[in-house]
Amino acid sequence: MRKVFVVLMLLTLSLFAEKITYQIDFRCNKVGDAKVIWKQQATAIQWKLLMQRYGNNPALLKKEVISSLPNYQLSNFQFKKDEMNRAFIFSFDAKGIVRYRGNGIWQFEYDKDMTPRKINNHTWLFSNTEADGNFIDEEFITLTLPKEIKNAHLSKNEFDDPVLEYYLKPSFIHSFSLVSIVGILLIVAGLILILLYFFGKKDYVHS
Amino acid sequence: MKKIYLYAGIGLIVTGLLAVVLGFTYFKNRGDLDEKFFVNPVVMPMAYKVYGNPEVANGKYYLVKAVFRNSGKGSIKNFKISYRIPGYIDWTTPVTYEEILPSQTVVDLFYPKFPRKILDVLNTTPASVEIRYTYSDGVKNFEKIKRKNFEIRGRNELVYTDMPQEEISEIQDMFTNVNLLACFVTPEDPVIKYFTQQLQKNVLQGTTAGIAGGSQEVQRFMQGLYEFEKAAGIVYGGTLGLPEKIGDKISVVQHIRLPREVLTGGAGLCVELSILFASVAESAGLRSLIFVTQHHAFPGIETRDGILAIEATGVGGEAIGGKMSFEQAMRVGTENAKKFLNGEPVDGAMPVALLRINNLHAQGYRPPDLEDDPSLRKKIDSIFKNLFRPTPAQLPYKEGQRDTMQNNRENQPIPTHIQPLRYQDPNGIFSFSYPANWQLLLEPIPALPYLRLIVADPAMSQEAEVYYFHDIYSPAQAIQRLYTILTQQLGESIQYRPLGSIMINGVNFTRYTGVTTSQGIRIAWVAHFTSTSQGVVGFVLGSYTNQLDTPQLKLIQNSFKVVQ
Repeated sequence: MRKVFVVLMLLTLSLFAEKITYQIDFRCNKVGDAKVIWKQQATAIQWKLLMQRYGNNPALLKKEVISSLPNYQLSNFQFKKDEMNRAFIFSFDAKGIVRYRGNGIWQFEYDKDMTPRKINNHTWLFSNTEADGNFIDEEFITLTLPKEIKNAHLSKNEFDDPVLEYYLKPSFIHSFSLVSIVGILLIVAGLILILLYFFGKKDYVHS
Repeated sequence: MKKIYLYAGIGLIVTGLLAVVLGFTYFKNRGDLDEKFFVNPVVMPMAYKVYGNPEVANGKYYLVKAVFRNSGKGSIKNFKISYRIPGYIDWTTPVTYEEILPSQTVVDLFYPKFPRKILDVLNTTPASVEIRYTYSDGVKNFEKIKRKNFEIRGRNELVYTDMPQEEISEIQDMFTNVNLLACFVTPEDPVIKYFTQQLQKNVLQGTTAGIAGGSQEVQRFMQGLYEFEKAAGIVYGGTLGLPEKIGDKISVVQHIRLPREVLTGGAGLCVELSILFASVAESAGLRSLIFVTQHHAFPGIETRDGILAIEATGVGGEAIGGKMSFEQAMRVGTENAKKFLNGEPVDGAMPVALLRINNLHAQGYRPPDLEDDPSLRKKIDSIFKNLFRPTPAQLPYKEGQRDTMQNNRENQPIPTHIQPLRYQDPNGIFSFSYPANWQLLLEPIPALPYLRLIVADPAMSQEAEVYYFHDIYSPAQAIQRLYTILTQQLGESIQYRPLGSIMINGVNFTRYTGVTTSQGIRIAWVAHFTSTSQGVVGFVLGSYTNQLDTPQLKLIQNSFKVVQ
């Protein structure tokens, strides 16, 4: 994961001397895809600028996000604004954000400038603060992993890049094809019949 | 009867075992790969280092984005992918994905490391990228190769946008690749480095601009480069330097000459002149900028005191009606930079991007490695040789420079056998003595109002001119103003250099020495200027025979008095 929205914010709000904080949620599933949700509350001036730029043309925001996140496959973009509260929710699906290394091991690569913090066993917070010209830009990314994961910890990959690594054994169900399931059922049925033969009611032969 | 149970049970178990074996082998759940490829349709040779660097712009400049999704029920194992660009890049070392689970997606990006020979492409050339991937679906092994065509543009071409026309909705969309202009700024080009060294040696006579110099020293550097371009005859040539609407089609590709080509070719568009300026500045260790608007570009330099901007096209040409002086070019550049930074239109064109070249180079927008070219070096030598005969120097002096030999002569007495006359300025600003047999002419040249008078000997072999600049307060500006008027308006050819300072009758004079050639006549001179509360006052001693220390000229020099 790169510093995702720094570029967007620089484009949008670089004229103002102030601090900008934004919060993005990455909710990962068991196959390494994520639902990304960006909720933003804005001041009056920020809101005016954001609406000038994206309000009537949210497709522009979509273009910018696609351009700034080439490592993922993005789809299902949605943009909802709450004019009364000067807030919007921008969401999309990002596929391929966590890489599977085999044997149940998954790795989530993040930018070395980000500071990771563990919130609980399956939730991590990545933060970064940058000063550029007149404004300070704070980015908080919450990564929520599937509840079934184990042993999430910080590590490095083979190229010494920082990663968040965790263990999630793939579902074994997919290893069983329909034919093998049928085979197992047949074996179970066969065993039942054999048990019935040995332990069922005996027929008496009248002499 | 019950024996049926036994036989049926055994039969079912055997069948079931067979089914299980087949279920884990031939009828195993297999992976099924869906693939999608996105290939960048265009590659620009000057940006070849950008394409090879996944760190630039969050990895935006990939050539191929390959997306694979396992839509099957089993895993894909040992997935490996590699790429090739025939003629440029052989098969890359495969990237391996150990296992792709059902419903999992992997994204692989290809950042090609083109060899230098891509710079040999001068015109748009078709090329192709091949993608080879192998994997096992759990039962069978697969190897697939896909091919997709793309274009390598000519070396000098910049495609300003990578956005399809139907997606373009605002100005910024037409300049999504504007940062790639930094790839055309070539401070490490051996030809540019050589030129910069020659400029620093022959024109600036040494400079601290790139090290510890303040704005003044940087401005001196800018002036040196600008004046050199004018003197060397580099002109603004061409139509608008940036994408423009032609009919109903928007043209977003531009042919951009390299700095070495502009320097030796003698002409450049606004963006080319800006790139040349930035290249030389960066080569000298300065932090250059390029201001890009919808239809124009102009350069600047970032100093610790702020930004100095200049209108590089002021070097002139038929297209824009003539040349600007350095001061005019700076004035225009400064005004435009101010508007630009305020987000206002500059000559009707909206600001697009401010390129901080040093930053962009550090981010990975690096120019290519260009080879040295001895023929271009010779051309540069020839340009310098033609400009500077016999002694090079065309700029205000470097602060602190002194000529000790001249200073030792400052206290020589006035020769007693010459009968002098005394001239007193009617406004009381200056006075001096001169030989009685010399001719005095007041305000002899209307086109040069600063020239108050000339005194000349009867043989016309030596003379003195007295100047008063009421609107200038520094000797450096005064000599520069004089230079501008004499060369531009009066068509004279002047070379000069600083000569330190001298005390005359308790007043410190800043000195310059030079040669002026006009209509085949050559005169050597030494100028003396000093600042007063009413402007700059000074005198110039000239000799047509190179004898600048005659008693007559010494008389004038040693008797010159100024009211401070």
